[in-house]
Amino acid sequence: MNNERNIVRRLKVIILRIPSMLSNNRAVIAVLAFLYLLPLGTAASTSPVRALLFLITQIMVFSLLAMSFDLQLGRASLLNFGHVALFGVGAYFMAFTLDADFLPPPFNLIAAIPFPLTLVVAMMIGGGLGLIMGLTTSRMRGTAFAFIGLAIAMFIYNFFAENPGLSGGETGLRVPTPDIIRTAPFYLLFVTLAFVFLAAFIGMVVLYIKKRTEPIGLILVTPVMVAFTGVLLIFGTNVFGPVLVFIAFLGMIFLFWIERSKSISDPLQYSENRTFTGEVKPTNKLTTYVLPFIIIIIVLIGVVVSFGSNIAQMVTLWIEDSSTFYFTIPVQFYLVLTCLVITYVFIKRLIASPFGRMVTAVAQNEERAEALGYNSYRAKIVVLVISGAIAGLAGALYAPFIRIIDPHTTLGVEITINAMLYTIIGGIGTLLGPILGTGVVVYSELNLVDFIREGLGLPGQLWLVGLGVMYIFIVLFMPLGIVGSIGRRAGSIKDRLRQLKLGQFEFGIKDTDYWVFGLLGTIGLFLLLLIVSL
Amino acid sequence: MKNLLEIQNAHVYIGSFYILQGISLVVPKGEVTLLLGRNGSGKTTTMKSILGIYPPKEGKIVFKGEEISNLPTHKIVNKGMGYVPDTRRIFGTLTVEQNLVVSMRKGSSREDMQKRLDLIFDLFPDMKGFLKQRAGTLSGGQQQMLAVARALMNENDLLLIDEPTEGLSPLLAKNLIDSLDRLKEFATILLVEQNFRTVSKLGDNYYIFDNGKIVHEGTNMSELIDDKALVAQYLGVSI
Amino acid sequence: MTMQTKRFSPRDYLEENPQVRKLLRITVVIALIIIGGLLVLAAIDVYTWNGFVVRASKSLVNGLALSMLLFLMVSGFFLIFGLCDVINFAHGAFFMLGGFMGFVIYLGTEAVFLDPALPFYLIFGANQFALSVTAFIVSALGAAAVLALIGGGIEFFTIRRLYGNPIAQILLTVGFMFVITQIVEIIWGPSQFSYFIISNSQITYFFISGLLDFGGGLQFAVYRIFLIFLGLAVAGLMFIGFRKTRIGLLVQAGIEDSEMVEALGTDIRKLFTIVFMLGAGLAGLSGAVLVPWIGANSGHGLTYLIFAFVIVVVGGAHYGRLEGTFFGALIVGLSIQFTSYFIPFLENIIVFIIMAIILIVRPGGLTGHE
Repeated sequence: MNNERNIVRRLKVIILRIPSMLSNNRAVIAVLAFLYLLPLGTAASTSPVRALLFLITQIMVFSLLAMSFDLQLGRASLLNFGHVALFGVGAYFMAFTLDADFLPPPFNLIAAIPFPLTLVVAMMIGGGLGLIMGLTTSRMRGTAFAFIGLAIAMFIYNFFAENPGLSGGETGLRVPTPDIIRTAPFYLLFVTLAFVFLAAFIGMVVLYIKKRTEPIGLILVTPVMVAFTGVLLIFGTNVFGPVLVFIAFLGMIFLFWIERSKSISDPLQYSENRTFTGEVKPTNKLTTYVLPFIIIIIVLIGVVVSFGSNIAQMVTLWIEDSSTFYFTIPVQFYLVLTCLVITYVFIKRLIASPFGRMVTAVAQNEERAEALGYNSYRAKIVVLVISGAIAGLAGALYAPFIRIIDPHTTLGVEITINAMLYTIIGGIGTLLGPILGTGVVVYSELNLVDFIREGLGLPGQLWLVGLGVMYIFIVLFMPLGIVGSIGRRAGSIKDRLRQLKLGQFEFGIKDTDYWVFGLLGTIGLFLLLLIVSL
Repeated sequence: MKNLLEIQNAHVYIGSFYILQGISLVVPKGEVTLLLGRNGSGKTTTMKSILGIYPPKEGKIVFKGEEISNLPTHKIVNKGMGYVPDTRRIFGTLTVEQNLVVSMRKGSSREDMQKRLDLIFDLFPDMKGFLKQRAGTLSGGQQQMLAVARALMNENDLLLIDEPTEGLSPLLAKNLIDSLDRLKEFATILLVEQNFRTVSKLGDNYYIFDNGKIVHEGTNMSELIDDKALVAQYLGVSI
Repeated sequence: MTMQTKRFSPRDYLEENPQVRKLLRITVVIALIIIGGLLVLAAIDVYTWNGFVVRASKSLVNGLALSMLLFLMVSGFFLIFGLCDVINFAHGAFFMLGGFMGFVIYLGTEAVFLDPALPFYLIFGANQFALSVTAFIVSALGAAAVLALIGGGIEFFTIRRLYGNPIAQILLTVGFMFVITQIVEIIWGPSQFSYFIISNSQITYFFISGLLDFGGGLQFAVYRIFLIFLGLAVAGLMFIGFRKTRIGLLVQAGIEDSEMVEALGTDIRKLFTIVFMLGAGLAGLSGAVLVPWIGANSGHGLTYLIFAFVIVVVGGAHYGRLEGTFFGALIVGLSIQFTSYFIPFLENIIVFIIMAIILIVRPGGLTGHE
């Protein structure tokens, strides 16, 4: 009896924490809700969205690799040329677990590990290799570490390249898609998650509107909702969904006016149930529970109306023939996206933690950090293990995604150099830099090579020369890459936005409002990509 | 021109650390100027900022009437400075003779070298014995001789000598100080020393450093030795 | 009073007991000799005595030739690393580019010499041996000069801005490696294509393709024996230059303490540029010298870069010892050739095995101290 009450109390604490969680991670939730919605636009038939999903998945896998590389280079100042080995062992491990027939007897047992668990094991293997690399750091002075890693990677590369029976050699090793990826329940799990994130996103918008009672709140939310309606209009199957979302938006405006008329306290210091004199305010059931709930439900119904036929079509096809492969692209997209977001949040937390500060101290001045009592050797090893685990995860996601792996494309030194290009062009030591850099490079590679070859009639490899020259210029003149140099200017832009006035309105934008631009930018980018890939 | 070297209100940073906070000093020609003070009070940094290794962010350094604050190290040195660093920093893999050859400036002839060698052998007669030996295998005193000899391989007007007696036995230190005393006739000397009593007979002027500032200056070393309060406050109880 | 519990550490134990250490060392040496002997016996058993002698002598000659070539290349890498503290990742690319430069210059020189309209034809038209030797010398020196200019240019315009920021310098040299490799691949194709002088040349050369036959299957390519002597000669010149010339001494002193060299009045930046040119030139020279034997190939850049790393680590040259590169090159070159003749499946990974053993036994390499 007592126990049950305890559980209820704990649940209540968790539920009560949701609003603050929502408002603390606005940008992540907004982008997450949008990205999770995207694959719902695909049906069984081929569509431009599928190609887009494939491209984005590729970018996200390499982003994971670049982020793990940046964790070493940007945070701990460790330049590891063997980084690809961490990625490659993850990829090969995944390939072996999915098809272990040709492994000698004791080893083919790894095929018994179920799929999602293999990701964890791949991370452990990557982390273990990172540990081995880390142990050599004590044996080499300073920058010489760069080539020990390279030697380890070359050893592994040669080992695989010399054993074509194991690695598939020149022709490559076929990696079957994990069965679970093709099943409807797994897909539906992610669809459910998509709805959860969507509900969270709308809840966040509602909370935001209730908090910011001056007109700017509404002004900022309007483009978000318009964009959201537009996305449903483009990707959805009919117009009823967007209409429902628009109705929900009208509900938000209604909520806004109710809250505004009764608001007496300082809107910036808004408190849900207290007046500014400190007395407890009678809870308004309509604005606190009923209206937000109705708004969220309307939006969810709108999304179901928009995409329901797609989902139903895919599921019926699977029931008719369970060997269907329609799920692979959206499910892999979901899988990689989830891993990427978790990694992003994890690295962000890690950097802010005491350990992260210690790593920064060690990277800046090892001797001083040791004098302060930090164990720089251990800090480096831990960074290498974590980054190895992330790279191993990237490799494990990459193998079933790309279908065929061979030593050259998963263990070749070129991959390390690619990760380096992505990281440095995006920005060393910035969290978003590696992701953005990967996106820019992978996307432009896809399009510019064809353009150079067919449009200009020149060898396509000139693109790589151009990339290399750009890289050299960035190393020389923009040490923090694209994101870093934007970030340097962002300060002054922010200051100007903060004091912006539009007629009689104080258009001052607070730091918490930038999620709007993040989401709008992401949506714009994807729409652009979609239009181009059409 | 009485003052060979003049530092005017120099502010020096190493990385983000503010080390020298407005130093002004003069080194008169033909005299020995001592920089005294505790460890970490900014004496060695002063030397290095004269040499251009840590150029001052603000202020001026004037040598022979020319401003040298923003020149690269080798140009400053070639104007006529010899540097004897605090941890000797001889080239251990080279022989003593090769160390001396490396220290000669471009364009010196064989006769020049012979002339300078004669001078060095006159000051340190022992050096003849270990000229062909690898410098890394020398004893501390011998290494210090080599470090001083390196600075004497060129016609230098100013010698910057940093903690010459550090790590030497009292007897060796005394011999070295005697040799430095004879050096006075060839060049002006700027000497950094923690152990001020051993060099007291050398000094013509002195500056006392504390926390990157000059807190006291004077011209009479014997007065300083008698000023117990000052010694206790800034120079500690040195042995 | 608490007892200080000390964890047992084998290294400390050996340090404290020199006799145990000595005994252990003798045991290891004896064990190695026995293992080596057994390996030799096994090889004789497999290949018969005559076959063993042929293989052993061939791998010795080839190994020495490769070692000398590697030494030429790695000494350039070492000079740049030692003096400027720059890990030059573009060194392999310099080496590979040197190979292509050598190839092009060789064929160009040959075409000029064989043109009947030019006066050279009178001298070389009939004497093909002299022609090949002259063309070889021109190509080697030409490649060295071109690469010295490229290396010097890269140092002067880019790397010079980043002294004091070793990671940015490495990133920069990686960029140059990338760009050079891509340009070479655009012009000459990917690493599947190798370019050989003999197959592109108008005449056959005794100098490059000639064999010395001692009978009984003991045939040695003249060129490889020539490489051994060339390598020894350049190595000797370098050691003498290091000991006797002023600039050599300055470089040696700078490897130890470059700031002090500057404080003694040398323009260290100028010295850095000179050393960079010298190092890149050595890479170009060794690349050009490699062409008549192994050919020019755009994939060589990475392969030989890794050899350079292994040699530096094995020889202990990262502690500033030029001799280290010599011994490291000998070990790597000989072990590659011996394994390729006797244990072919280990050919590509033997260098990493050697490096791992050296790192475990002597972290400082052969000549370095702990």
